Formats: sequence, C-alpha cells, structure tokens
Amino acid sequence: MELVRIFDLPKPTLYAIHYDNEAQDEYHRLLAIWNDPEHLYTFFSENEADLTWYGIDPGTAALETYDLAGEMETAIQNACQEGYEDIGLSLQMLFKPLNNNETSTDVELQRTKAKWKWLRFYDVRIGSNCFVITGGAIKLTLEMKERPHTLNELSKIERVIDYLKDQGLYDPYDFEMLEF
Amino acid sequence: MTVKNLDKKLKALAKSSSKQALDASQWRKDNRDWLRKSFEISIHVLAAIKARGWNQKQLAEAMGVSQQQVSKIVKGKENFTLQTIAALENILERKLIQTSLAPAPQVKVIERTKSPHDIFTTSVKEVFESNSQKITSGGAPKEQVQWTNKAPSYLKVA
Repeated sequence: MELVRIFDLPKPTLYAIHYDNEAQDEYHRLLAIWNDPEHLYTFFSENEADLTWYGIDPGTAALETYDLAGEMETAIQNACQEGYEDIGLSLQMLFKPLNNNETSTDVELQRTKAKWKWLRFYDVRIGSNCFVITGGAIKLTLEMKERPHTLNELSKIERVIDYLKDQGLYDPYDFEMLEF
Repeated sequence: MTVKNLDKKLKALAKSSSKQALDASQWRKDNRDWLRKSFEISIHVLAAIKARGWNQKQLAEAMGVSQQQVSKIVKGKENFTLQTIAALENILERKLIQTSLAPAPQVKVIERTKSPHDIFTTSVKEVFESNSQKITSGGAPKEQVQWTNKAPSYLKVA
C-alpha cells in the first residue's frame, strides 16, 4: 500500500491509502463508484432488504447516494482548503471518532469516520486536523460487523494502522509531544 | 515526534494524487448539471432491464447499438441525444424524460403614459417632498424644487 496526498494546497492535511490491488487511492476510488449508477443500482438491489428501514427502492437510493457523494466531496474539499486557515469547516469537524463513545481526539492513531447519511469514509487521525482515508462504504446497518463489506472496512483500518506504525508515523512515546 | 517531523515524514512518504483522478474529479464537478440527468436516465434504464429480465447485451441488440454504447449509458456518462432517448423509450416502453412545453407566452403591448424616467422622478419627488415636510415642520423655510415630468434632453430621440 501507498500513501497519497489528496489536496496539496494550501497544505496537505488529507491523505488516502492506495492499495496494491486497486487502480486508484481510496478517496478517488470511492467517489468514482458513488458516482456510478450501475455500481450503486447493483449494490442497492443486492442489499434491498436493508433499505426497508428507509422505505425506498434501489433506484431512489442510488440517486440519493449520487447527491450525497457530491455534497460530501464539496464539503471535504472546502474543509481542506479553508479549514487550514480556520475560516471555515475543518476536517476535524467532518471526521468524527469511529467509536461513538470516544469524545476526545486525544487518542493515538484514532479511528475516525466522515458520515453523510449512509455514506462513510473511514480514516485514521495521525495529527491535528490531519487524516488518512483507509476506505469507505455504504453503511445501511447499525453495526459495521453486520455486513461483509463494512466488516472488511474494519480490517482495512487495522491494516493501515499497522502500516503507519511501520512507516514511523507513530511512536507511542513521541506521539504525546504532538502539538495539538 | 513533533508536528514538524510528522510533516517531513509525510512529505517524504506520500505521493501526489494521480492526474487521472484529479481530472476525473474536476470533470464531474464541471459537468454535474447534465451528469445528474444522465445518472437518472441510467437508473431508469437499469430498472427497466432488471424488470424485463434482460442483460445489457440484449438491450444493445434491441437498440441496434454496440454493447460498449449500452455500457456507457448505464455508467451515467452519456450525453444523450433526443434520438437515443426516443429509441430507449420505445424499446423499454417507459418514459425517460418529460418535456413540459407551456403555451407560447403572449406578448401584450402596454401603452405607456409615462416614461421610466417620469415614473422615477415622480417617485423621487414624492419621497423628497414627504421628507422635506417632516424636516421643515419645525418652521424652517421649505425648499422649493421645480420638478418636471419631461425626460432629460439627453434621453430625447431626435
């Protein structure tokens, strides 16, 4: 796997993992499939039972996902470009702890998520307002472990944390000295 | 590890986003207006294919186009012509787009009794006089202004 800078300016704050078996990094790969009607319609048709709670058909869910993905992309882009200057939304406001019981950001290599209704980007926070996207999913169930595709995202997060540690982007002792 | 060191390590380790990914993202943004409509049509086509128990190859054959063309349609990247939409509608027996042609607007000729300039100066005059009365109610001499309803000379057509 490789680390990719998503936005270079004004300062790189968002990174994504490019897995060896994928054509592009996770940020751009997910946005591409969330803009793909065929992929979305197939996904929602296969998971139609999970849409019962929402009371919509696969076609409507696909179209809503397309709109959500557009909103999400714009918000993340704005947060990267404006948030750094503290004049707008910051990434830290969009990327919340994955564990709903965690309220503090003072957690080493914290597992986080950006959430837009059922859309998720999963990430690891490596510093103040600095995140690495590990993957993402359409989460229609309460728990990630309830479906194989979301369960897989949990294991991807753990693999990325190991990778970040291997690359020296984590040190249990020095991490406490990060200037938050 | 300080933030500075972390930045340095990230800079050394991370590569830039691929040009292809950045271009695709920009293209989506630039063309979002029509891409959304194309997306919506794709969903209708996919639902119709599913309802008929067809696959994309069968749709391509029915339309007399290549499978690549159908693939483009269901990927939401087709800037449809009316001809393609009509062909799809006929084959799938469902409306994909609806036009709402309202009756052509009727042009009503209004005969102006006052020019826009007249209307403007009259309004200004009314406001000015109203304010002037308020200001001069204490006894100060009321300013006399001669207002004309005629358009200024530079607006006159010879």
